Amino acid sequence: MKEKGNPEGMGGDELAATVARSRAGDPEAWGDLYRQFAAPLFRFCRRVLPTREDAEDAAMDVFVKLRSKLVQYDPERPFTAWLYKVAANHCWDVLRRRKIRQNLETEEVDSLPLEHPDPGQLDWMITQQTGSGVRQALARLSDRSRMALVLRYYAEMSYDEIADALGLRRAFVGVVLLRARHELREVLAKPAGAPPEAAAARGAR
Amino acid sequence: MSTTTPLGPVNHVDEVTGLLYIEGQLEQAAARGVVAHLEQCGPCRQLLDALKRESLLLSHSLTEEDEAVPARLLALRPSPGLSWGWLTVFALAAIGAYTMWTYYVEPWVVNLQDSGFGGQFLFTWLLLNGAFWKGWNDMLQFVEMGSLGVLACVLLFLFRRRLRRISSYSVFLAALLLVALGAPSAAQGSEFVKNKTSYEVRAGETLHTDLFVVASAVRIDGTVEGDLFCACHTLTIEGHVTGDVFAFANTVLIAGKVDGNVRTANEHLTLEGTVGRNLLSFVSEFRTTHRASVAGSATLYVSHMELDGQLGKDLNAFLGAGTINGLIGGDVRIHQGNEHHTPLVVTSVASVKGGFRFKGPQGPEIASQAQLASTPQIEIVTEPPEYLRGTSYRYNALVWGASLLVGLVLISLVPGLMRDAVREVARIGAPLALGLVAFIVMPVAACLACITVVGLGLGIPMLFLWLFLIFFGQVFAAIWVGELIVGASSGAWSMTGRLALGLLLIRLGALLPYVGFWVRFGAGMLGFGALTLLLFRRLQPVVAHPPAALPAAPAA
Repeated sequence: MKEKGNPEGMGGDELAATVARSRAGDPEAWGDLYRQFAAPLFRFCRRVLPTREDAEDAAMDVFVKLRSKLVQYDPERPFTAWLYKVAANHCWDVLRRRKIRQNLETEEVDSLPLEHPDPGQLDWMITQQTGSGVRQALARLSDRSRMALVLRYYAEMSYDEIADALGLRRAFVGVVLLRARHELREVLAKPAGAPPEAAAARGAR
Repeated sequence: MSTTTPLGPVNHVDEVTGLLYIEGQLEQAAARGVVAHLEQCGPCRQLLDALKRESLLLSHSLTEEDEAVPARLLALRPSPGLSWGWLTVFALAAIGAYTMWTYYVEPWVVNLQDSGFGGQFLFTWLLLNGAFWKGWNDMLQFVEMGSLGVLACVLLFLFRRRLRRISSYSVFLAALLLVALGAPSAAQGSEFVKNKTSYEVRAGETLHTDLFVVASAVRIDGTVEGDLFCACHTLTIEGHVTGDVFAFANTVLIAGKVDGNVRTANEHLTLEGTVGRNLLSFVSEFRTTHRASVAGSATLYVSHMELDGQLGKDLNAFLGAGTINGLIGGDVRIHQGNEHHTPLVVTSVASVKGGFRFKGPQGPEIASQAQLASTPQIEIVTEPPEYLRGTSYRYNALVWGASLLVGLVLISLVPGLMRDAVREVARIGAPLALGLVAFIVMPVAACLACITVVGLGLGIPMLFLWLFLIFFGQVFAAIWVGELIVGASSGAWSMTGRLALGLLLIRLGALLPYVGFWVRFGAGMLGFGALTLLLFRRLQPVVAHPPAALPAAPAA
C-alpha cells in the first residue's frame, strides 16, 4: 500500500522499512528517501515560498533537518505527514525571518462572517481558471492561507495534521481553509497587483 | 442561512458545513442532515458541486509540474553537517598530512630550495610561475586575467546561495582570488618557435626576449636576453643565455654561459661552460669537464655522474655510480641507490670545502690525496628484502590507513558510484586495459590541455585526478577482492569491511618478493580503469529521466 503524498513506487511497507533503515544510520536508505522525496518537497516549498531560489534552499535545509530529526520520528505516524510538517515549519520560519509574514501567525482565527457565494458565479469562475493562474494567485495570498491550501491540497494532510502543523485547534481548520478559498477567489476575480480585500483588511488592523 | 423559496423558508447548508461535508470531516449525524437537505435543495447541491470542483482545481493546480526540479537538488544528498566521527577522521587526516609533510615532503623541499627554487613550492612554481605561463605576451596575459575574472564570477554565481550561509566558501574563494592576484605576472614579451627541424641563434645575434622553442635540434651561438625554454632532441648552448634554461631534451651540451639556473630532464647532459646560479637535473648520464663552473649548487637525480670543474656550493645527488674529480665549495650529500654496486669514486684531485655525507650500499672509494675539509660521514645501508624491512610494514600500514580513510569518505559520499565502480572492476580485462591506457594518456592529455589558458581548467583537475587514482585506485580493487572472499556487500559498513580486508591483502601482496610491485600496480590499474570506464559511461548523454512524480490526486 502506498502512503498518501508519497508519489513514487515505494509502497507503505517499503517506505516504512526504508525509513527504519535510515533511522538506523544506513546511508543508502537515506539516499533512497532523498531521491523519493526531493522533487515533491521542492514543489511543496515552491508553492509556499516566494521564489524558486528560496524553495531550492529551503528544500535542501529541510532535508538536512529531516536527517538530523529522523531519530525523533514516530513510526506510528504517516511519514509523509511528518515530512511535510517539518517542511511547513521550516518554510514558516523562513517567512518569519524575512519579516514578510503578516500578522496571521497568531492562533487567533478571524471570525468575521464570510459572504455566501453565488453557486452559479462560483461555478463559472472555476471554469475560467487555469492551473498557472491559480498558482500565481496563490502567491498573493496571506501566508497562512497559502500554507493551509498547500498542506491540504498538495501534501494531502488530514485536518488533524494541518491543525498540528499550523498550531490551530482542529475545529478551526475548516474555517481557515474556507477563508483561504475566499481570499483566492478575490484575487482571481481582481486584476494582478490589487491585494485581496480580506488580506488588506487584516493588514490594516 | 435562511432564505425564501417558492416552497417556503428553508435552512440551507452553510459554506463551512458544505466544505466539511465534501471533505468527509462532518460527524455522521450532521452529514445525514446535509444529505437529507441536498435531496430537496438544488442551490445547495450546486454550491457543493462548485466547492468540489474548486477542490479539484486546487489540487490540480498545486500538483501540476509547472517547472523542473533544480538539477542541484536532484544530484545532491545533503547531510546534517560534520559529526564528531567525521571531525575525528579529519583531525587524524590532518595529523597524518602534517606528519607526511614534516618527515617526507619538507626535506625534499629544502633540497629543492638549496638548488635554487627560492623557497617556492615546486608545484606552484611549475603551474603558476614556470614553463606554462611565464613569457606569454601582453594579450595572453590580458586573456588570463579576464579568464580568472570570468571564472571567479562563475564560481560566485554557482555558489551564490551557499555564500549567504557558509562563510568558509567565501574564505576559500577569497583565498583563491588572492592567490590568483598574487601570482607573478608574465614576462614582458617572448618568442615562440615550434615544429622546426632545427633552430639556431647565430653568433652575434641577440634575442631581447624569452625564447620558447620546440624543434629537433636547437643551437644557441648568440645571446638570449631572457629565459630559454626548450623541448628538443639536442640542445647546444655555445653562446650566452642571461636568464634560466629549462630543457626537456635527449642531449644537452652547455659550452657557453648561462647566467641563471639550469633545469633539465634529459638523457645526457654535458657541461663545459659556466652556470651563474644553480643546476637541477634529472638525467641518465651527467658529465662536467674541468672547464665547467657552476656558481651555485647542483641537485642531481642521475644514473652515472662524472663531476669535474668547479661547483660553488653544495652537491646533492641521488645517483647510481660516479666519479668526483673537481672542486666543490659546499657540502656533499650523496645517496646511492641500493641496487647499484659500483662504488662512488673520489679521486685524488677532488676537493670538498664542506662536509661529506654518503649513504649507500657500499662505501665510496676516496683517494687518500683527496682534499676533504672534514671527515667523511659514511653510512652503509645494506637493505634486506622488502618483506624483512620494518619500514616496509610501516609504510604499508600507512598506505593501508590512508586508503581506508579515502575509501570510507568515498563510500559515505558516493556509495552508488562505489558500487558501480566495483562492478566495473569485476570485469577485470576491460578496466585493466583501460587503466593502463589512461595511466599513460591522462597526464599527456592534461599537459597538452595546460598549454592553453582555457585548457588549464581541465588540465589541472585531470592531473589531480590522475595523481589521486595512482594512489587510491586500489581502493576499488580492494572492495572487489574483499567481496570475492566474503561475498557481496549489502551496505556501507559491510562494504567498508570488505575494503579493509581487500586493502590488507593487497598490501601484504605488495610485500612479496618479485611479484609485490605487480600486485600493487595491477590493483591500482584495475581501480584506475574501472573508475575511468565508469566516468566515461556516466558522462555519456542519456535520455533524462523525469523527476520524481507528484503527490497523488487529492482526496475528493
